[in-house]
Amino acid sequence: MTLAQFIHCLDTYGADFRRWPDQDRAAGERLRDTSPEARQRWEAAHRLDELFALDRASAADRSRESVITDAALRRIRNVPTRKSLDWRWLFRPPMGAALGATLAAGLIAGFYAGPVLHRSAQEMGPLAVTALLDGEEELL
Amino acid sequence: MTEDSDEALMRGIAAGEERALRALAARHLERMRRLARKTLGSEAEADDVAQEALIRVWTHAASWRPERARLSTWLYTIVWRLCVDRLRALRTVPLEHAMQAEDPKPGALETLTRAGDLSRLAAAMRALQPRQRAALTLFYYEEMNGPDAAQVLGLSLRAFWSLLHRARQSVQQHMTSLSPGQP
Repeated sequence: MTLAQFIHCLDTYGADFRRWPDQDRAAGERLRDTSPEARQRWEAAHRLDELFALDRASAADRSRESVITDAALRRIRNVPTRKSLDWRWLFRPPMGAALGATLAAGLIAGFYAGPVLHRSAQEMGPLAVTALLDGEEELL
Repeated sequence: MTEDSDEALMRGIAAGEERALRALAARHLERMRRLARKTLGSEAEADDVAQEALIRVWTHAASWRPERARLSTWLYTIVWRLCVDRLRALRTVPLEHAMQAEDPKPGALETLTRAGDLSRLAAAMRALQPRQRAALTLFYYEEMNGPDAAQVLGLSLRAFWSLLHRARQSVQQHMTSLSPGQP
């Protein structure tokens, strides 16, 4: 292993050789033990690892965890359940019957009124339709 | 008293047992918060993310498959995605400034003997990209292995190692530039 490879591994996996890839571990340890520069680099990496560990240990604040959990549970209790979000009630009596009747009435109205409206539009011609859309009733 | 396994807790949560969610939070919330705090750089934001993550756990507990991912990996993935959502929302203000916002509450770090080193580390971490912070946190703080950490961040293993390498190098460079002996 070259010093450059050693430094690359240190900069990725840190100073703990257990985190290094299997194939690099033994060579890395050998280089650290034989090369003063590798040793110096390893010690610097080890200091940073220690700092990570210290940061990790010092920042724990267990008291906030129960507060967060309580807040989450309060929100969970207030969230509507899936049952209340179910739209199937629309299709059950009496809403289902009402909805069905409305749909049927709409279809019937469309069936009888549609052709009449279509004929009227044809009789009026494109100009009349444009005028209607523009709201100029005097053209009629 | 025997502790429930992660699988048993998740079954309980899926069945609507609040006790199971509390037990899961007692076991995992600290680490979930740490990832959010390190990624977002704010205690308050981390608390919000942790709370939201617990709600997602509650609503999606049935979708977790132990054979597909460890529970910790699944939880970190939820937290990371929530962090990404927050970071996207923050883009209405310059992201660098949002990322460097100081937490108003003084931490316990300042009371430690190595407060100087730790505050330099905190400054160096703040200077990183959020994804780099997350990579460092998962690998060095949470001691996740590379494949699991890559899965959380949605990266290939190769991309994760590259990200981790750049992140650690950046921290070292920042720490050096911030050290008292430097001009």
